[in-house]
Amino acid sequence: MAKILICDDEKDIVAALKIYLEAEGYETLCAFNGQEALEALRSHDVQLVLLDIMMPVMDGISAMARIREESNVPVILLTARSEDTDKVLGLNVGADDYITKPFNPVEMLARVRSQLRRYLQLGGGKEPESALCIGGVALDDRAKTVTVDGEPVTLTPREFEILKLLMQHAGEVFAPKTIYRRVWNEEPYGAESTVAVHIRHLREKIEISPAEPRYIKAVWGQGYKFEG
Amino acid sequence: MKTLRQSIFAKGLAVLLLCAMALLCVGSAGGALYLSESGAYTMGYDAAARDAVDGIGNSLAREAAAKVRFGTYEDGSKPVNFRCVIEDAEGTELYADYEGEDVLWDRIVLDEPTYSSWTRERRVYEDGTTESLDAPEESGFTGEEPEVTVSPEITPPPVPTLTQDDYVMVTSAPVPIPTAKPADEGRIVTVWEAEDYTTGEIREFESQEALQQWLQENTLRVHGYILRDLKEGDEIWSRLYMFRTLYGYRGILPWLAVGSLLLGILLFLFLIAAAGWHKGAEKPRESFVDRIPFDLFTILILSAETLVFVGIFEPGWVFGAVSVAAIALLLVLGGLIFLLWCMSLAVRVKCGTVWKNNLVTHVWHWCVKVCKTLVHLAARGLKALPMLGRWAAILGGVLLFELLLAATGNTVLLFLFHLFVLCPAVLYCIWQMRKLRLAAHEIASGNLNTTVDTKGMFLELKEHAEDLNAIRDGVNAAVEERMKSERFRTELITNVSHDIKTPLTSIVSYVDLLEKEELENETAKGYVEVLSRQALRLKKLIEDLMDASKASTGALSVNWETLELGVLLDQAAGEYRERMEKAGLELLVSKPERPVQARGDGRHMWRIFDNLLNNIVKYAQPGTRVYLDLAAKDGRAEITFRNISRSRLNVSGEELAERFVRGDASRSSEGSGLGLSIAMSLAKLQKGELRIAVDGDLFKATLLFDEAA
Repeated sequence: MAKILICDDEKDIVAALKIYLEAEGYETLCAFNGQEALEALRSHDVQLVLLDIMMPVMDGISAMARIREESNVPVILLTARSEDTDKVLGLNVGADDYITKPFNPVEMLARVRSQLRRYLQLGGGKEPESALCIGGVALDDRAKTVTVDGEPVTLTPREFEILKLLMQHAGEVFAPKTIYRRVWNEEPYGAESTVAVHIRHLREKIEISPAEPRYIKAVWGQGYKFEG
Repeated sequence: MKTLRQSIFAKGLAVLLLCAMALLCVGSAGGALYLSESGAYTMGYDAAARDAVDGIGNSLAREAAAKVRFGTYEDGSKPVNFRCVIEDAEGTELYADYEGEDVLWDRIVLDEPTYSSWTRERRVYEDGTTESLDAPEESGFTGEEPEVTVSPEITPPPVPTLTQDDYVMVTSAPVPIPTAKPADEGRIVTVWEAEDYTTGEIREFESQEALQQWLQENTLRVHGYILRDLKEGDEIWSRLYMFRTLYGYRGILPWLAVGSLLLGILLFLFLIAAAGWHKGAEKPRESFVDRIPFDLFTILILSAETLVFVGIFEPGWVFGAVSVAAIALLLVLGGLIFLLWCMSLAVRVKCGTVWKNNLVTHVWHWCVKVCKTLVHLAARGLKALPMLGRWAAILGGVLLFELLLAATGNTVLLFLFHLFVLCPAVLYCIWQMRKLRLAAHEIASGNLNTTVDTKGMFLELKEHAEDLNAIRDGVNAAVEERMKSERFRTELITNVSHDIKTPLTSIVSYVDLLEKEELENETAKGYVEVLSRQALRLKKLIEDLMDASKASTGALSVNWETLELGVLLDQAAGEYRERMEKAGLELLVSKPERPVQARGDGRHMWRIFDNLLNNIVKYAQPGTRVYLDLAAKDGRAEITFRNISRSRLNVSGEELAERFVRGDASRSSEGSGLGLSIAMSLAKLQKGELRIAVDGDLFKATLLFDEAA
């Protein structure tokens, strides 16, 4: 089973995380500042790191930068700050994901699972050629299947079509009206909010946290886009 | 150098040396010039000496001729070193004492008689009698060359005319026979008269030519000689003696002149530099002389110099040692006076009093002082009056002045006064008013960096400007203070929130773990559930609190983009449709056909929608309809949210929006109560507006934005 390094200066939080992760069957290692985390990483074979940002001795951002100099092990940042600048900074130095405190245990476990699957399957490359792979989402148009981090997801035909459209033009913003025309093949005539409802369903199936979507993002006042 | 310039002895010596140098310079330069004019530097001694005695030789020859004419040329009065041979026009020798000696100089001089000539008008009658017509008029003294004198215009005297009465008299009475004057009036001739000064007799000539001839006939031919072996005792000897002495020094004279000039300049410069320095003084100091006002001093010096120069040039100095000494003394005196002026000027320059210490300057300063005092007094008097009274007094003065002008008929002056004084003054006041007005407007519209420039303002305007500046400063300080406290509060809330979140994370995690433990006690399970719910509520509260504080202080950045409000409405409706249905609410969306756009930040805009729709889901009466409308009119986009409240709303719309203030009934339910407040702040941040209205149970929220072009 995978080995996870937990790093936070708050011992209670480390203990709680340890309980959750061990309950899921992962092996854990504990560190209480960035320096310790770096040392632990050098002496153990670790598959994932949970890293707090505000820590004494060496903070999470500097530790993050040092980790990236040595390995590409997936790192999930834990942060008490919800400001966007902190998230952007963390992702820029090479973090793979972030969780804001106080976190929902289910969400936390889902993110851990997702990162581990991607990391461990990276070398496998079992995805069929017809598949459209962006981030952890893979869409096979021929088999009409969608997997998220390797887990199959069941979608309705409309949801599948919407996802296909967005993934084929990843990064491009589609107005609800356009999506309706392309997927339903008819004029919306006031049914644009139907698209929003389908997007919402799609998000609930694909995203770990639908309120803070990672892939299917709403560009408010303009439309929707798929982001890698 | 310092001690030297402070020493009176050194300065005195320098003055003496300077005088000596000046004399030496003038003397040697004069001598050199004299020598160079005689040709001493180009022609050799003999020629130069000849040149030097040429003048005196000539005059001696004439003198001899004159004396021979008078017959007074005797051996006793003759110059020792002069010989001559004098002949008349026919060549007859009149006098000779030259006996073939060796001569330095010889020359032939023609000497005409000395005379004075004039013309005279004369009437000559046929009988030979003549009558003089005018008094002899001296046409001027002429020496050797008689001048041609032009006879004045002659008008014949009036002839007495006989009237009829005269003839009557002739016939009736024996007429005395006129003694002179036959019928002819004679003819007018011009004669030349000349007075021979030698003999004193007056001669008459018929024409100028005759006069000339007479002169020629009486011209003497003088051959003068100056002996080479000079004997002491006459002017020639002294003249040549001086020349010989000078000639001996001819090589060094120019150098002497230049050298003494240079030394003199050096001494002069030293004196100028040393002027004003006194023993033991750190700085140059003015003496009694230097305290005399400079213009007065200059005039005194100029007068003294004038006196000296009058002394040099006016009296008929006779060539001689005494005269030379006197002139030299006077020159030295003049130079000393000039030196005094220069040194005094130097002291004044050093002390910086050249322009200050002047009679004119003193008078001017005094006048300015008097004027200032007068103006000050008048201003104080005016200031003591209240504002209205003051201006009434000023206007009264102006009117009185104009009345005076009008009464004396000076309409042009009145016009000029209006044009150049009154109108500019009024315009100036208006210009100042404009400045005040603009500044006040700027301050009123919130630009607190405005400063009224009080330069050039006066009286009330200035006071007003200063008050405006004070108001601005006050407002600035207040705003600054408020901003500071707001920032402080936001920072405090942010930091506290961060600190609360860490223990909260533990609480949430362990409550969750507790829930997963298999508790047999049902009551304990219930308690854990409460803990879980309240912990999550606390989390939400903290997040809202942070958002609210950030939104209200404007600490959030706005990423401006053009938003399609219709699309936003659809997106929001899509997100909430199912939750509304679950809550038993029917969502009705209406929007115009054409797209309505507004400028804003999509994330902030969504947050507003999210908060408002969330409130509706929480507080709307189940089974009722919710209306979400978009309309655009007069360039404003308007989005209204309407729903029926579940509980009675006994507060106004404004109170609902205020932080932590909510209807009593909703206080117990979940949520922070900050949703409306955040929405309002965000709307304001995007230059929009959120209005809340409560009408009975109808809750209406209206979002207003400027429509984007």
